[in-house]
Amino acid sequence: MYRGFLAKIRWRFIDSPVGIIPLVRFRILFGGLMMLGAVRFIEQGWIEKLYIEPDYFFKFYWFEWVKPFDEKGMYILLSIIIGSSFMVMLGLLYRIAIIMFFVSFTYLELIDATNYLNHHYLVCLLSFLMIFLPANKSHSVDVLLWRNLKSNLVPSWTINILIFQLTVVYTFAGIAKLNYDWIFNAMPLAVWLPERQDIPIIGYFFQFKWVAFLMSWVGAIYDLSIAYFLMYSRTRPFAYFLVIVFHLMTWLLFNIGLFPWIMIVSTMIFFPGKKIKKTLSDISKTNTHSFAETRDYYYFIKRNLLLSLIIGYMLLQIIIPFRHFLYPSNVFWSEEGYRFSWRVMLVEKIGQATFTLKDPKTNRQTEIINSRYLTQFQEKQMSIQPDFILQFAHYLRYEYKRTHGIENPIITVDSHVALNGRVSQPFIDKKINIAEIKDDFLPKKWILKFNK
Amino acid sequence: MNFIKIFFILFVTNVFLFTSCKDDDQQDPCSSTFDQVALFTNVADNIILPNYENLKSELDELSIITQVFVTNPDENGLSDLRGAFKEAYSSWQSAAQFEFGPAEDVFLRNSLNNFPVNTNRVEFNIENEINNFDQPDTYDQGFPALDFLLFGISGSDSVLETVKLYRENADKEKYKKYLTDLVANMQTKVTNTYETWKNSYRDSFVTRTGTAAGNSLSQIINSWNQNYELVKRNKIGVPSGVLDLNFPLPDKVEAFYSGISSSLAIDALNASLNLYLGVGNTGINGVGLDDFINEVNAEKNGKTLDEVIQEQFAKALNAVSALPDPLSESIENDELPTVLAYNEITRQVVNIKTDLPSVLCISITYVDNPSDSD
Repeated sequence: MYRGFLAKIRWRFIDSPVGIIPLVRFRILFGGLMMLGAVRFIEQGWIEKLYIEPDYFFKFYWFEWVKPFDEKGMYILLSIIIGSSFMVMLGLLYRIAIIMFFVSFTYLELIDATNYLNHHYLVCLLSFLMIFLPANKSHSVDVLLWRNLKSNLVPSWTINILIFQLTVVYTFAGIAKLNYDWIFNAMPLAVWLPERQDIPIIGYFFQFKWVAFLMSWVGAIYDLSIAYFLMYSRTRPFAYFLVIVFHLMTWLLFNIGLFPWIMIVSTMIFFPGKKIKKTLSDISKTNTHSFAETRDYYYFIKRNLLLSLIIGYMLLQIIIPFRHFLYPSNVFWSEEGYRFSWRVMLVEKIGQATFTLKDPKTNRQTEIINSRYLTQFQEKQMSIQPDFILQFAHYLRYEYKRTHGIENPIITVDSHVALNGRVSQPFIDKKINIAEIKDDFLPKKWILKFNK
Repeated sequence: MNFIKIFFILFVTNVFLFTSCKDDDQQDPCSSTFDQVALFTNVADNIILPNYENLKSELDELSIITQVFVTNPDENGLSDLRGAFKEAYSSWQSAAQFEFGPAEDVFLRNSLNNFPVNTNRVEFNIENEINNFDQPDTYDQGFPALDFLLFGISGSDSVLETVKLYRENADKEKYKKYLTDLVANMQTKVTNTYETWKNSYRDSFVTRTGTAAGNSLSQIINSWNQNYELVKRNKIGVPSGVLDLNFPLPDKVEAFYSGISSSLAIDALNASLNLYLGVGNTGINGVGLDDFINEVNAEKNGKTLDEVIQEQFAKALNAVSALPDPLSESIENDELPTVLAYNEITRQVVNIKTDLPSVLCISITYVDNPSDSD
C-alpha cells in the first residue's frame, strides 16, 4: 500500500512521459534571453567597469582560484556566453552548448563576488540543470542533423525539476519577506518607493506610506503563493497574468536588469504542452507503467541513481536557504548565510569601513584610503559584508608587505552600518586584528550584535 | 491544507525571530512630510547664490588688482594682491560645497583648488607660455597656483624678492602673463557658475523634490559629504601623516606658501556646519538639514542625531582651532595636535555620511550603480 503510493508519486513526477514542448520552449526562450543579456552586458560597458577597472576582486569561498582575464580575455568569455546561448536557443550541438554556457557564465559570476545577484545564481542553477535535460529533442537543429533524436515525449522529471527550482525561488523569496522590517515597517520599500515618484501616474502614490505597506504585503503573499497557483490548471492562466504584472512592476520600479524577464520566461514551464492530455490518456489506456517505455524517450542514468540525484539536489536547494538558522546572528545584519537564499531586494544598507594598519615592529600606523584599492561600487559592497571586509584586510596585508615590506601588520576596522532607515551601529569589533582571522563557515564572533 | 499550516508556522516563527529587532521609540524614517522646497529655497537663495556672488565679486576685485600689479609691480601692489587672494581663498571654502550642476559642468572644485600645486609644472608652463587650463587635474591652476605665484615663486615669501621677479626678471613678462591668465580663468569659471545658477539653475533646483539620486536633496547631501571628506583628507589628514604610516607631509597642506591653512580649514568646517544648519551669509538660521532630521526624530546613543552632529562639529572646530598657522610649521614641530584634529573631524563622517542619509532615506551615490541589483 505504502510502496504503491510511493511508486505512484514516482511515476507521476519522475518517470511518466509528458509532452516535450514546455522544455523546448524553455530552451529557446532561455537561450535567447541569455544571449540578449550578455549583449546588454557588453553594451553597458560592464566588462570595463566591473572586470577591467578594478585592481582587486572579492572572492567566493572555495573559488578563490577564479581569476579575471585581461580585456581581450573577458571579451572572449562574453563571446563564448553569447555564442553558446545562441546555440542553446537553436538547439545546435545542444549538450556541448549548454555545458559551455554553464561553465562560462558561472566563471564570469565567480570572478568578483561584489557582483553577486540572486538571479545570476538562478541562471547558473538553471543552466546546470539544463545540461541533463533533453531540451533538444524537438524543434532544434540537432533534430535536423540526427533525425532519430526526435521525440515528442520526455520523462516528467525533466520538466518538474525546473518547476521545482522556480518554486524554490518564489517560496524562499516569500519566506525571507516574513521579517519584522518588511511586514511591520514596510522596509525597505518605504525607502525605495518614494524615490520613484517621477514615474507617471502610479508615481504619485509612492509618497504614501500605506502604499509601501500594501506592496510589501502583496509582494510577500505573491511570492509565497504564486508557484502553487501556477501548478493548478484552473488558476494557472490568471496566476501567469499576475506573474507578468508583478514582474513588469518590479522592472519599472527597480534597476534589476534581466530578473523580471527571466521569471516571466521561466514560469512558462508551468504550462504543459498541448498534446499532453491525449498522450497521457493514450498511455494510461495501454497501461504502460513501466520504465522500459520512458527509457525510450530519454535515458540519462540508472533509474535509482537518477532518483537519488534528484532528491539530493532538492534537499540541497531547501537546506541552503535555511542555513542562516545555524548562525546566532540576525542574517540581515551579519549576512551569514545570506547569499544563495533568494533574499531578493530585502535590505537597504549604508555602511562605511575605515581600516587602520599598524606595523608591529615600528608601531607606525596608517589609515587606509579604500578608494586606492577598490572601485566605488566595490567599496560600497565591502562596507556592509563581513566576509568582504575580511578579504580586503587580507589584501591590505599582502599589499603592505609587497610595497612597504611590513610583516604581519595589525589591521583593525572601524565600521558602521545603517540598516533599513535606522541610524548606524558599529559593525565589526574594532579591537580585533582582522588580518589574523581566517574565513570559514563558523559563526563570525567578530561581527558585533545588532541591537533593536 | 498542509501548505497553509506550513506557511502559518513559518510565518509565525519568522515574525517572532525577527521581532527581537522591534523599535520602541518614535523614530519615523522616510517621513515625507518635510517641506523640501523650503529647504532648497533657503539653501539656494541664502547660501549657494550669496556664496557664489561673494566669490565672484572677490575674484573680480582680484582681477582688477592683478591688472594694477602687472602694469606696475611694486610692494603695495603685491600686498593688495596677497590680501585679495586670501579673501577670495577664504570665500572659496564656502562655495566649494556645491559641486553639482553648473559647478560640476566646469569642474569648479578641481579647477580652483586641487592641491598641493605642482610647482614644476607651473614653472614649465610659465617658461613655455602654456596657459591651457582646460584640464582640471593638472595641479597647475586655481588658488594653489596663485598661492605659489604670490608667496613662493621667488624661493621665499619675501615681498621684495617676489616683486623683483615680476619687475626685473628676464622672464617677467611670462610671469605676468601666467598670473593674469590664471586669475582670468578662475574668474570666468566662477562667473559662469554663478550666472547659470542665478539665471536658470536655481529655479529648477528648488523644485526638484524627492529622495532619488540626482534630485536636489541627494545632490546637497552628496556634495556636502564629498567636500567634508576632502577637508578631512586633504587639508588635515594627508599633511598630518595619518594616511602615510605617520610620516608627516607638512608641505602638502593647503595654502602652503601663504601659510593660512588652518584658517582655511576652519572656514571650510564652518561652511559645512552652516550648510547643515541652513545658516545664510547674513547669519539668519533658515531651514536646514538639521530641521529635516529633527522632523524624523532620529536618535543616536540616547541623543538626537542633530545634537550628535552639532556636538561633533563643535569638537572638530575646537580641535582645528588649536592648530596655529602656518600649519606646515605646526606639523613639523609636533604633528600630534593635527592628528587629534583629524580624528575629531573623522568622527563626524559616520553621522553625516551614513546616519543622515539613512534616516532621511536618501540614495547616496557618488557614482551611478554600475550594475543591476535584485
